[in-house]
Amino acid sequence: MTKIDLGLGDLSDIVPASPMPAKPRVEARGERAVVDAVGRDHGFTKPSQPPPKLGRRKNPHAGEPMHQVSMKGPASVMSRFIDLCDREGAPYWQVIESLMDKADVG
Amino acid sequence: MPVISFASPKGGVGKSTSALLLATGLTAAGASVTVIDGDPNRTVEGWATSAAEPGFRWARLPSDDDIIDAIEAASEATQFVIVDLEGTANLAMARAISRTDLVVIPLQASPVDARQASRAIKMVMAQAKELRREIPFRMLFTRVNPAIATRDEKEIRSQFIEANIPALKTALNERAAFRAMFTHYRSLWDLEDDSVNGLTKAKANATEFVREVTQTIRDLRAAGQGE
Repeated sequence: MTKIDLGLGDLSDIVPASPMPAKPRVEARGERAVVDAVGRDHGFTKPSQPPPKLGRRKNPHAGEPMHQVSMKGPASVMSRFIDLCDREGAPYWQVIESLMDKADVG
Repeated sequence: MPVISFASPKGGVGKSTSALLLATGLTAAGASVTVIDGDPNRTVEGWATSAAEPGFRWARLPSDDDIIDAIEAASEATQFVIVDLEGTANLAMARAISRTDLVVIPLQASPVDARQASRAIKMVMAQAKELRREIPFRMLFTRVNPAIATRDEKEIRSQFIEANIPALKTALNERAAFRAMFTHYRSLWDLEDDSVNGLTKAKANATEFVREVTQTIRDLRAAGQGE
């Protein structure tokens, strides 16, 4: 691109900012709270994007008839399975489905 | 480094056109520029993606939570950062202004625009007070009749002077050439003289605007503001 003289002088006195160390989270949050409060006081409140939906994901099996399986197995395996369900925060059937999906079986 | 935000809670006041004129002017003069496009109409983005050689970097304004980080990152990458904000009273404007070195508040010479512009002024001033730092701002008259100043324009200018509200001396005129940038996807300085009416006068007007903004940045830095 050909440079055009617009009479701005030598622009080399204006340089990109030097990288700044990140502010501690608490300080950054505090400053943002101040900025937001001023914005609110003056009616600058509208979010740019709709807030994310925080509800649980819709169950893809909703409406399907339910069936119950009683399962007996070695305590160590059962304990491992229950721990996995706790970690995933999901009911037993969802974890079984997820494991089958991962194994691409069934 | 300087972050220049174009802000007004009212749409259609000429934010995107002035932002593009400044970005392309600075680019033509050899500066590195990033434009952050917060306008949902994606005016600058549309221009930059359609132009053969926009010359500046551009990015969409990210989510409200990431605005400040995005502006800081851009200011480390290029000499100038220009933020074109949505014409509505939103959280993004409040947050972007907190990281701005010069807020340009465009308005047409009408009482409706002036009232909306005053909302932006009040917010900028309140934020500066709370953050205990100067947030310089300048009013910018747009779509002004180059031949004659209307009664409204004279009245609003005189009210600004009385209230110590700083305005850029340069007003952007109503020029077909400014609209032609969006028709031909070329900067004003790349348009052909015979393709657009009044191009020479439009270039002179835009050059004066770019020069005054650059000088304002330098004056603010000399005064220890806008850093």
